[in-house]
Amino acid sequence: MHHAYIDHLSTLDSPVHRLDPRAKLACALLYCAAVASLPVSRPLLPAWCVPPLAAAVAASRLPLRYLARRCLMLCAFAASVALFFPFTLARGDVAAAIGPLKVYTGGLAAAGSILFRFALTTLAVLVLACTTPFPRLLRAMQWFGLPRLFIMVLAFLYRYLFVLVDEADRIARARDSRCPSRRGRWTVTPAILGMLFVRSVDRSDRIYAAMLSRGFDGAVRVLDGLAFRRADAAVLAGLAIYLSLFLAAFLGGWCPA
Amino acid sequence: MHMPDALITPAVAVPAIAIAGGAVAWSCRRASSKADDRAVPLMGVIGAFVFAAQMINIPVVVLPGVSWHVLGAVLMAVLLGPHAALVLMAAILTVQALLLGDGGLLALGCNVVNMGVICCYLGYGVFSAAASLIDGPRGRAAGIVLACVVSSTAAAVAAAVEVHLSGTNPVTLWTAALAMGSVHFVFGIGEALMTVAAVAFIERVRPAVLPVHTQAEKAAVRRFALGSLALSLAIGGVVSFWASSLPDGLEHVMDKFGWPEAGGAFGGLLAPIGRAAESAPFIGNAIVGLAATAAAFGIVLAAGAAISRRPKLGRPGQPLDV
Amino acid sequence: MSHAIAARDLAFTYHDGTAALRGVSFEVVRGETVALVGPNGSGKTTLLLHLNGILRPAAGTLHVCGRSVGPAALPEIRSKVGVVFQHADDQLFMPTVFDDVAFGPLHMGLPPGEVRERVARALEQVGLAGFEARAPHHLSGGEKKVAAIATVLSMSPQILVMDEPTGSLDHRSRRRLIGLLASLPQTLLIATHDLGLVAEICRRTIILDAGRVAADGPTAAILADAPLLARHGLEPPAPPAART
Repeated sequence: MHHAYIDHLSTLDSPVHRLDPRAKLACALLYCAAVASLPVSRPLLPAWCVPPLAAAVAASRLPLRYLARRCLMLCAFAASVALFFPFTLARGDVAAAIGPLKVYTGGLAAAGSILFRFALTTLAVLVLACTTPFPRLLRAMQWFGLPRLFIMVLAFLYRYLFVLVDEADRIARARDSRCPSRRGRWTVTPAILGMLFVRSVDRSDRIYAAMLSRGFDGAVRVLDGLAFRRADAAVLAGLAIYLSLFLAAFLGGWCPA
Repeated sequence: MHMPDALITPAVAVPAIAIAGGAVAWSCRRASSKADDRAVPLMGVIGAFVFAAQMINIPVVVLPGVSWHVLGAVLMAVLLGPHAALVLMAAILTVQALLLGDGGLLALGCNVVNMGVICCYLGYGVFSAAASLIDGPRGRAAGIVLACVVSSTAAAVAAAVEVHLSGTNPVTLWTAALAMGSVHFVFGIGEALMTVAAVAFIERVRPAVLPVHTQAEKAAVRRFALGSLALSLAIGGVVSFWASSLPDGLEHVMDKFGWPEAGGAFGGLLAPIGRAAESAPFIGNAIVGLAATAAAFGIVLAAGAAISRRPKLGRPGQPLDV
Repeated sequence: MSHAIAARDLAFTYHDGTAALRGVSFEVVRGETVALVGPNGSGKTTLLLHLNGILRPAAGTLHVCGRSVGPAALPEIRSKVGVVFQHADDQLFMPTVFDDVAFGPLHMGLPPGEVRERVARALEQVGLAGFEARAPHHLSGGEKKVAAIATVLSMSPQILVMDEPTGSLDHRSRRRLIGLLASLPQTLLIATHDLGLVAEICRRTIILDAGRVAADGPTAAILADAPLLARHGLEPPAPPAART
C-alpha cells in the first residue's frame, strides 16, 4: 500500500521533521485558513503565499518528484470540479465561444484561483503528513484538546487500517478472479463487507484479550514525549506574522496581482 | 463528496468545525459513558474496517470506467449506534484528510457535518423510526433504505449550501442542490442495497453481533417517530412554500456582503438541468422541501435524544438500555 | 507453594456449548520449560487463556505463583504471567513498537524513567534494539513475533505462556526465536505444533486431546512413543539430519 511510503518519509531527518508536531499542525491550519480566505476573483493573489510553503518544502528535504506526483494526482480531481467554472460562472467578458458554450473570463479566473489554492493547501498538508509520523500527530491533536476516546479510536484505526486494507485487497482480488462479470460483483461485495465486519469483530476480541493480559483497565496510557522549543515558537510566529502582514496588505488594497 | 479547502471560506469552515467538534465531543461522551472497555478496540477496528470497505471499488454498470464505493455511515449507525458511528466517521475523515489528502484540513469540519453528523444521526433517526413502525427484518430493511437515501441526499444538499455560502459556486444554489442532490440520491440507493445485503449477511452468519432492542424501547421510539415525522412534514411544507423566494433572498444577502454573485446564466453543461429547474420550479421546491423536512426531522430527533435517554453503545449482542 | 502453575480438574464450556476443557490437571515447577501439544480443537488455546484470567473455569481450581486465579488477584497475576498470543498483529495494537512494549509497565503503574529502561532492556533482549519508533505494520513476520514477546518481557513476568510461537515463521526467524526462547530464564509453557521446537528446548511435554490430559512426561519418552503420538493426531519430528 502506498501509505507505507508516507510513513517511511516521516522517519527521515530534516529541520522540519524535527519541529514539534503541535507547531507544524498549527502552521498547516493557519496556512490553509489564509489561502482559503482569498477570493476567487483574483487568481494570482495566492502567489504571495508561495514563499513560506517553498521554504518549508526546501527545508524538509522531501523528494520533490514524489511531492509533485502526489500533488498532481490530487489536483486532477480538483480540475474536474474547476472545469465547470469557465462555462457557467457568467462574470467578466466572453473570452471565447465554442459552439453554444461561452467561456467567461470571470469563470476562468475562478477556475484558476481554485486550482492554485487547492495545490497550495494540498501541498501544505502533504508536507505536514510526510514530515510527522502519525502517532506524533495524534499526540499533538490530543494536546489541542480532542476527546481521548477520539484519539484512541484514531490510533487503533491507523494501526489496523493497513492490516484490513490488505485483507480487503486479498478478498477483492479473489472476488475479481472468480467474478469476471461486473454485474456479479454487485452481489458478492455485500458478502465481502459482511465477512470483513465479522472478522473485524473477532479480531477486536483478540486484541481486547491481549490488552487485558497487559493490564488494561479502561484507560490507555502513553508516555508523552513532546517538547516545545524556541525553534518551534519561532517558526510558528514567523508564519503568523508573514500571513498577517500579507492579509493586512490585501485588505488595505496594497497587494498587486 | 469530500470537499477541498479551495471551495470553502473560513467564514463557513470555522462554524462547521465548531459544530463538528461539539458533535464529536458529545458523541464521545455518550459512546463511552456506559460502554465497557471493550468498546475501544472494537470501535478502532471497525473504523479500520469501514476505511478498508471504502476502498473496495465497485464498477458502476451503466457508466464504463466509473466506480463508486460505499460510505458506511448508516451501516455503522445500525450496527454500533449513532454516537459510535459519528466518532468513527469523524476519525475516518480525519485520517483521509491527513494521510490521503482526500478533503481539506479546514473543510474537515464541513465534511464531518455532512458525512458524519447528517449521515449518522439523521440516518439513525430515520432508521430507528422506520424499524419501530414496521416490525422485524422488513422494518429494518425499509429503515436502512430510507436512512441511506435521505441522509445521502441531505448531505449532498448541505455540501451544496456550504459551497454556495462560500461564494465559490459556479451556478445558483438551485442548480447545485438539484444536481448534487439527485446524484447522491442515486448513490444513496446503491449504498442502501449494499447496506441491507451486508446486514442480512451478518444476521445470517453472526446474529449475536447485531444490537438488540427491547419491546418497551421500540414502543417509545415508535411514538416519538410518529410525532416528529408529523412535525417535520409541517415544517417542511412551510419552508417549501416560502422557499420559492429563497434564492432571491440569498442573492440579496450576498450582494450586501459583496460576495461574488453566483451567476444566473445557465450556459454550458448544466443548461438542461438549469432549464428544468427554471421551467418546473415544483421539482426544485420538492427537493428543498425534502431537504428541509429531513433537516427538521433530524433536529427534532436530536432534541428528543438530548432530552430523553437514548440507546448507548453496549457490547454487540447484549440488550441495550432503554 | 513451589509450583509455578497448579491446575486441578479444570473444566470450561464455550457459549455455543463446546466443552473445551473436561477436567485438566497438571503442575509446572518453577523454571521448567513445558510443551503443550495436541491436535486442533484439543483445548490448548482455551487452557492458555485461563492462566491469566481471561477465561474463568466453570469448575476446578487454578493456582498461579501461589495465588488462586480470581478477580481480586488479576492485576498481580497479569503482571506475573505473560501471555504471547498466536497472531502477533493482535498483540501489537499500539501505533509504535515503543508504545506497545511500554504498555504493560505503564499499566503496572511504574514511573516513566523505569518504563523507558524496561522497554530498552526488553527490546535488547529480543534483538530489536533501535526499533522503538517503528510502526508494527512495517515489521516482518519474524520481527513482529519477537516484538510481541518483548511487549510481555517488559513486564518482567515469572511465567511465559506462548501460543504457537514458531507458526508461519521462515527458517531463519524460527532459528533465532528458538535461540531466544532457550535463553529466557522464566518458566515457559509453550503450546505448539512444532515438535522440532519441543524436542530442542522443552524438557517435559503434556499431550492434550479433546479437553483432557492424555499424557504428561519427559519429552524424550513421549516423542519416542510413536503409537501414542499417532493416537492423538501427532507425528514424531524429523530426525536432526533431515531438519535443515
